[in-house]
Amino acid sequence: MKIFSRLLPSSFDPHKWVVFGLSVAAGALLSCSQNPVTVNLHAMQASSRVSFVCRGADNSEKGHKLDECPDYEAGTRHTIALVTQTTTEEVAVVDLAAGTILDIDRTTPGYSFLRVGGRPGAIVTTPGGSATFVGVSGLEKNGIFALPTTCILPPKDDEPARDLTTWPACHLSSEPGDIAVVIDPVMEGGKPRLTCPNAPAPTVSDDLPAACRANTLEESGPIVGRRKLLVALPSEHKLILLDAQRLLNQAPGAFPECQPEASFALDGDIPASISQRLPDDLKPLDPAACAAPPTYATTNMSALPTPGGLAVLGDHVYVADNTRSVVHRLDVSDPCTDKELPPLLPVSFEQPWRAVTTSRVAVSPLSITSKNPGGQQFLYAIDQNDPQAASVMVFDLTVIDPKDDSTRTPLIFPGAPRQPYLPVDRLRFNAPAKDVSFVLRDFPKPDGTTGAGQFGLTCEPDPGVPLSDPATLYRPNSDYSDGARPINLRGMFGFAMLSNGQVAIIDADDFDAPCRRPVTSNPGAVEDIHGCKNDPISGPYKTKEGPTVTGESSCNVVEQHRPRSASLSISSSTNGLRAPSLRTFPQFSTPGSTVQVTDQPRMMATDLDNPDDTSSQKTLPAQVNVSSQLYAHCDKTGPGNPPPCDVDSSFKPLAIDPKDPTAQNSLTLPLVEPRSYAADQSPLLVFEGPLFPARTSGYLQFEVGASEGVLIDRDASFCGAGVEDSDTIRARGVGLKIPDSSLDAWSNAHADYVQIIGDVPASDDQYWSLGRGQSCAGLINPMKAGVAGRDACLNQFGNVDNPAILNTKRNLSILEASTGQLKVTPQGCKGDSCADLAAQLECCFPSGTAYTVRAANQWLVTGVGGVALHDMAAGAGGRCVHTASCDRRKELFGQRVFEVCDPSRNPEKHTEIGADGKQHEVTDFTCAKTDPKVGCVAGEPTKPVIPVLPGGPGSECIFENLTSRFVVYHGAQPNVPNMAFSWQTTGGFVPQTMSLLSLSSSVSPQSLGYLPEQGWLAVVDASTVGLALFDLNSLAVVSPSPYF
Amino acid sequence: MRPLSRLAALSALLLNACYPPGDGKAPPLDEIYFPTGVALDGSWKLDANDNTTKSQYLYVANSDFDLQYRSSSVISYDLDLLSKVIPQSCNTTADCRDDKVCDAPGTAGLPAERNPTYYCVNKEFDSAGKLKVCGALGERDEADLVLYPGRCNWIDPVNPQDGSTSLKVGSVGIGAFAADVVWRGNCAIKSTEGNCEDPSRLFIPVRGDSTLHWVDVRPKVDGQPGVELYCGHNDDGEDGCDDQHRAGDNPEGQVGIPTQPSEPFAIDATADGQYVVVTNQTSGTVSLYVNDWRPGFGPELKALAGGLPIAPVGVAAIPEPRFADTSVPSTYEPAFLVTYRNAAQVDLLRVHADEPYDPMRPDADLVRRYVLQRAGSVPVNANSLNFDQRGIAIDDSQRLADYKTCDEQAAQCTSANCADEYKYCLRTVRQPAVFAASRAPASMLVGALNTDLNYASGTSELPGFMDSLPLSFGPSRVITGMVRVQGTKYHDDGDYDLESRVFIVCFDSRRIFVYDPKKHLIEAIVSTGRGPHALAVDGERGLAYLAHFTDSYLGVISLDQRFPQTYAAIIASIGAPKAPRSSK
Repeated sequence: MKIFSRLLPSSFDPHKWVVFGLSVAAGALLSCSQNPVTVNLHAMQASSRVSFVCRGADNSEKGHKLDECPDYEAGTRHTIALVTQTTTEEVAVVDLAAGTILDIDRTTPGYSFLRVGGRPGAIVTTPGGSATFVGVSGLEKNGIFALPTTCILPPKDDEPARDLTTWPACHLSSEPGDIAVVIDPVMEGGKPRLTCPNAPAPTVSDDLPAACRANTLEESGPIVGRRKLLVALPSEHKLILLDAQRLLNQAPGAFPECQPEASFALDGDIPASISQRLPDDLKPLDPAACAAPPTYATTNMSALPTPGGLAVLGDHVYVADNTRSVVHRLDVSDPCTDKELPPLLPVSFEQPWRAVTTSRVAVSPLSITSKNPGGQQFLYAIDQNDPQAASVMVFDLTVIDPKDDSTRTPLIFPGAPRQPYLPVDRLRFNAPAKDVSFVLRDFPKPDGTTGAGQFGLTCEPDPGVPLSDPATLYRPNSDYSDGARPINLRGMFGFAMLSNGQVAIIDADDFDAPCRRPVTSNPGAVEDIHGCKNDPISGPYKTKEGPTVTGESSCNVVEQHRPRSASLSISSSTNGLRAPSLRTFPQFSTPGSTVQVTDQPRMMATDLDNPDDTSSQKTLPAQVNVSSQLYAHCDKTGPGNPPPCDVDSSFKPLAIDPKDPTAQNSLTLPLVEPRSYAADQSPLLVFEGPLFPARTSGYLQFEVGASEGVLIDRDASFCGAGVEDSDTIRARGVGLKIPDSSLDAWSNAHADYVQIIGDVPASDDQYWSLGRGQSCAGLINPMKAGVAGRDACLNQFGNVDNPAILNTKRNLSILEASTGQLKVTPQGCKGDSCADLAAQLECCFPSGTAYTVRAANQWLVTGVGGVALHDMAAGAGGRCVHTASCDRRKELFGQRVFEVCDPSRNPEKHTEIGADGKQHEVTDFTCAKTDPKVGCVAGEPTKPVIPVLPGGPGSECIFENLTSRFVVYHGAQPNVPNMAFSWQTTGGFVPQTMSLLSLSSSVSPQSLGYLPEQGWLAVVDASTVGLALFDLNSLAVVSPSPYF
Repeated sequence: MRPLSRLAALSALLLNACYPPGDGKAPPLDEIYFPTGVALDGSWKLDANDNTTKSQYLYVANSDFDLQYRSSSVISYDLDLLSKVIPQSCNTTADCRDDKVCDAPGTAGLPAERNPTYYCVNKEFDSAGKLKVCGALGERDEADLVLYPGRCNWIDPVNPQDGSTSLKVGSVGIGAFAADVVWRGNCAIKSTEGNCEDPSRLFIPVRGDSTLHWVDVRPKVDGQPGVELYCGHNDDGEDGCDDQHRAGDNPEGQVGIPTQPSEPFAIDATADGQYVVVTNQTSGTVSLYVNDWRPGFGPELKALAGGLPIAPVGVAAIPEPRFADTSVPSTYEPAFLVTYRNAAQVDLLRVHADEPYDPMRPDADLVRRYVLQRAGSVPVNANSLNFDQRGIAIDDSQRLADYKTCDEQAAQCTSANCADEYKYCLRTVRQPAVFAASRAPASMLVGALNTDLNYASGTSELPGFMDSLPLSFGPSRVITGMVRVQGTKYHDDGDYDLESRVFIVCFDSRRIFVYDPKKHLIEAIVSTGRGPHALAVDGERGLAYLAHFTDSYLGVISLDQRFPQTYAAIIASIGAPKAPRSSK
C-alpha cells in the first residue's frame, strides 16, 4: 500500500477522491436510470365553459334531467361534463361517474374531442338533457352547433367517426354571445306550438334525422313546452330566438343560415337621474352642507346595448350589457313576444360618474325560510370595468318597484361606516371577479316527533324556545362539529370566481346566521361593543345545557352579501386565536434614551359607554383578549354585574389607571365588525409620527425673498394621505373644547409639518459643480461663499446619521395643504431669517431629497395595513378638507390621538440662552387648556380625574376607531418625536374560499358550474387545471378531479 | 487574476466594447438580420380632406444576434411603395383596381379548381393553366408554409421581383444587439399642412456597447425628395453611427456623470420626444435620457432610477392628461409605467426636474438636475402567479374621446357653473387603458389608470387591473393600434372606420392575439412564423408589420376587417427568411 501511495502525487487527497468517485458513480447511476418518468399530458387546452348532461349508459335516445344523475343503485346513468376548448375548437367530454376524460377518436394520437366549426363560446344543455348547443365564432364561422346527447360519447364500432359533419349546425350573421334555453309553454291542440306567430315558415321538417337523434319535445323538464334558444348577438345589439328542435333536425354537416323565429332589439331605458337608496348610516349629517356632485360628466348613457352574459330563472331572463349601464330584464313567459321589463340600473356609489357595464350575471333561486316566507331573490352582476378589480353588484329582485327607480340600483349594504375598506355597494375581492353563481342548499333535520324534515328552517337561538321546535336542531353543539358553523353551508350562498384561482363564498341567506353571535344580548337600540342591538331577549343566549349560539365575538360575523368567515370568531385554546385579540400588551419605546416607567406617557384602555340608556350601569367594563385570555376592568364581580364581570373566573383584571405603576399599557379592541381587522396587524402609535413613508419626489419652490413657498409632489396625494394644515386641524381643536382665544395658537401648534429626512446630493453629483448647488454656500453665509456648497449645507442642516433625531431647521410648517402641493414656511423662524432659511432649504435639498409629513404635538396611529385612517379628501379648489360629515363611511376613521394631561403636575421647563446672552427659563408645557400643545385636561389642578372615563373630564381625548380604543396620558417628561407604543393584533377576518391553487400554481379560471345533486361546484380553468370539482360539504376538491 | 475571472472579464469587455472599425465582417446594411424592433413614423396627413394621420416610413432595427457581423443596422422602408407590392385583399372584383380581379369563388374567368386567396390578381396563368395569384413572386411550397405563413414568396425589398422601385429608403450601421427602436417627431416645427417637420429621430437601445443610439431622419441633403437616416457616419464604409450618436457611455469616465448600465432592453419616450426611458434588465435600474432636439445635440443620460426589482423589462410612457383647472399652468411631470420579470408589481416612475423644462431655454439643461424616481407601485394580483410581466402598453383613445365630449358639452353649457362642471368633467373621464403581457400564467392583464379625484388630473396614474385573459404560452410584447372595420367614413381607398385593438405577441407559441377592448374579447389569433417579436401597426393602411426574430424577415398582416378571409393573416413577407445558423 505504501508503495502504491508513493506513486501518487503529493497533492493527492484520498478524501477528495472518495467524494469525487462517489459523485461520478451517482451521476452514472442517475444517467443510466431506467425508471420511467410520468408526465401528465394535458388533454384539455384553453378550457372555457362547461355544461352538464345526464346520460344513460345504454345510449338511449333521450338524455335525462340533471337531477336524475347519478343513479347510485343501478349506476346506469352518468353525468357527463362538456367543456369547451377554445384553442382546438372542440368540446371535451368528461365522464364524471367513471372519472375519466373520454377520447372520442382513439385512432389518432392524443385526445380527440367533439369538434365544432369555430371558436366555442357559450354552451347550454336543454333541461331534459337531450342535446347541448354550442355557440361558435370566427370570421365566416359564426354559428351554433347542436350536440345530441346520443352522440357525445365515442362512436361504437358500427358508427361513423365524430367530426364536423356529425352535428347539425347553422350560421349566424355575427358572433354569438351567451345562449340560454327558454321554454315556449304555449300549446296548440294539446301539443307544443310549432313555431312562434309571425315567424318565417320553417324550411326544416320536424322529421328526426336518422343518426344522432335528439327529441327535445319529449323531454320531461320542469315545464312542458318547446325548447327555444335565446342567443345574444352582441355586434347586432340584439337577441334572437331559435327553435332548438329545428336546429337538431337539420341535416348534419351543413351550415345553413339560422332561422330566427323572433328578434329582440334590446332597449333598456335609463332614467335621466338615478340615485341609490341610502341606509340611514350613510345619509349626510347635514345634507345642505354637502354639495351634490355635478351631473355634467362623460358617462355615455346612450350607448347601444350590447348583450353579455345571460341568466335564466323561470320565465325571466337577465342580460348583462357590455356597453350600456343596464342589466336587461326580459319576461319570457311567452318567449315569442318581446317583453322587456324596466332594466336594473348598475351604478357606482364611489364613482357616480362612471358608466357601469356588466359582463356576467347570476340570478338566485327564491330563498324561502321559516322567518321569511315571502322569500328573497337576488341578482349578482359583475362590474367589469371597476378600476380596482372587477367587482360584484347585488340587486334585490324582490323589492323592485316600477315607480321607484332606486329599487333597481345596486344594494347599498348596511353598516358601511363599520366597513370603510369595502365598497358600500360592491363585493370587491383581492382579484378581479370572472364569474358568479348561486347555490341554495339545505339538509333538513328530522323532526323528533314526526321524523320529517322541513326545508328552510332558520336556526333558533332563543333559549326560551323549547327543544321540541325543529329550528333548535340547527344550534351549534359544544364542540362545533354540528350545527351552525362556517363550514356548514346551509342556505343560499353566492360564489365569486376570481381570476387568481380563488372562489369566494358569499353569505346571501345563511339559514344559521341567527345562531352565529355572542352569548351576550343587547336589547337596546344602540350597538354594543359586539355590534349587537335590538335583541329580543335580555339575558344571555344560553340554557342550562350550554350556549344556544356559537359565542362568537360579534353579531356581524355573518352579514348578508359579504364574504363568509373561514372560521368561528372565537379566541380560545381549542379554537385558536380567531377573534380579534392582542398578542401582548402594548410596549413603549423612545428613541435614543430610556425613560423611567413612572415618567413615561401611558396608553390605557378605558371603560365603555353603556348603550342601554335604561340600565343603571352608565359604563361597561373595558375588556380585551390578550392571546386566548380575556382581561376585563371590573370593580365588582359576580351575578348582576355586566358581562364578563358577572362571573368570577373567566377573566383576569385589566388595570386602566395610569398612576398604577403595575398597570400595563393597554387598549380595547372594538368587536363590532370583525372585517375591520386583517388577519394580523402590527399598529404603532407614534408621537409626531409620519403620515406616509419617505418620499423623494418633492420639489421645494420659493420665490426669491419669500418666506413662504410650496413643496410640489403630485404623486403624494397629500389629501389622500391625510395631511392637515392649520385650518383643518382647527376643527379638532373645537372638538376638544379648546377655548376660542387659544384656537389659533393651538391650530398652528398642531398643524402637520414637512420634515426633510434625506441627505443633500452626493458629493460627486454634478449639482454641486454645474447646477444650482454652486450658490448654496453663498446663500447660507455670503461671507463664506467660497465654501463647497455641500459642506455648507451639511453644516447648516446637519446630516442624517441618526434619522430619529434630525436638525429642526429641516422642518417646514404647513400653511395650506392641497392635492399635489403644500404651502410651507420654515418652522420656528422669525422675520427675515425665514426667507433666508427658505432659500437655503431650496438650494440644499433639490428634487430627489427624501421628506415626509409629520403630525405635530400629537400621536399618530400607523401601520394598520398601510391604510390611512382619516377623512381628508380634496375639496373644491383642491384644498384638503374633512369629509366625514358628508361621507359617513369615514366617520369611524381616526388616527390622530391627543393626550390627556394631569393638571396637578408642574409645568415642563428648560433653560436657554437668550438674545441678551443670559440664561432664561422657558416653559414648554403647562397642563392647561390655554397651552397650545395641550389636548385634554383631566379635571382641575386641585382635583384631577384620572383615569378618564366616558363623559368625564378629558373624555374628549378618548380615542376610538374601528380597531382600537384607548387614552394616552401625558408623561412626566416632555415627549420627543418617534416615541411609540407598539402592539400586535391577530384573529382578524379571514374569508372562506376554495382555491384552485391547491391543484396548480398557474391557473386562469374562466367559469363556474353547479351540480346540485352531487353538491359539487365546477370550476373551468384555461391554464393547467381544466375542470375542477369542489365538494360544498367539505370545500375540498372532489377526487379524481381535476380533469385536464 | 484567476483564469475564470480573466475569462469573465474578457467576455464582459467584449460585450460592452464598441466594435472597432475593421474588425470582423461588415454588416449588410440592406439585410434584415435578427430584427428586434420596428417603428413607424407618424403625423402625416392621410387624406387631404381628413384629419387622420398616417405613417410614411417603417424602421427596422436589426440585432445581429448571432454576432456574424461586427455590428448591425437600422433600415427604413417606404410604406406607400410597400403597400403597392403586397397583395391587396378583396371580397369581389369590385374591391380591386388596375384591371385586377378578385381571386374569390365565383369570379368569372378563373379556374374552378383552386384554393382562392381573396387577393386582387392579374388574370395571368402559368403554363399549366394555373392562376398566378402571386404574380412575379410565385407561391410558396406548402412545406414552407409551416414555417413561413403567407401564400406568396418573399418580397425583395431592395430589388422587388416585379421590377418596381426599391422599397428601401436608407440604412445605417449601429452597434450589435439592438433591443428595440422608437420614433419620435420634433413637432415643434410644423408645415403648413400640419405635418411634423424635420428632423425626426430614432432611439435605439443597444446592448452590445450599453448605449442609446440615436439616428436623425432628415430631408435628403442633396435636395431630392424624401428623407435619409443620419447618425454622423463614421466614414468606415458601413455607415456606422459615430460616437456623438451614442449616449450613456460616458467615454471620458467623468465623475458624477451617470453611465448606462449593461443590458438596456425596453424603451419608450414621451410623445414629444423630450424624455426617453430605457429599462436595464440585469441591474434593476431604469435610465432617463433627456433629448435635445437642436441640431447637433441629442439625448443625454441624466439619471438612473435605482432600487427597483431586478429585471425591469417593459416600459410605457403615460400620455399627458389635461388638467381640470386650466387657469393654473400645468405642473405635469412625465411618467412611465414599468413591469418586471421577477416582481409582481407595476411601478410608476416619474421625471422630476428642479425647474420645468423650458423649450426656449434648452441650454439651461446644463444646470438642471433631473431625477427619475419611483412615484408609486401597485401589486399585480389578477393572476395566480403574478411575478412575470413583460410588455406593457397604454391606450389613451377613450380618454381623448371623453375630453372631446367635455369640450363639446362645455361649448353648449348655459348653466351658471359651467366652469366647475367642465373641471369635473375633465377629472371624471375614462382613464387610459393599460395592457400588460403576463407569462405566469400566460395571459394579458387588462386594466386602466385609477381614477382618483384627490389628484388634479383625476388620476393617480397608477394602474388597476380588472381582468386577466388567458393566452397561449410566451406572451412578450403588447402593442396598441387600430384596425379597419366596416364603416362609412370616406377614404381614398374605400369607406371604413378605424377601431382600437390590442395586439399581444406570443413569441414562444408563434401567435399574435388580437383583443377588442370594446367587446372585451379575443377577436382573432394570427398564426405567425418563428419568433414573432416586434410589431408595428399601420392601422391607416389596414396592415401590421411583424419582425420575425428567428428567421430574420418581416411579415405583413392584414388588419382590414372588410376582407374577412384575409383578416388577421400574414399576406406578405419582406426579405428572405433565413433560419438561424445554429439550426442548420
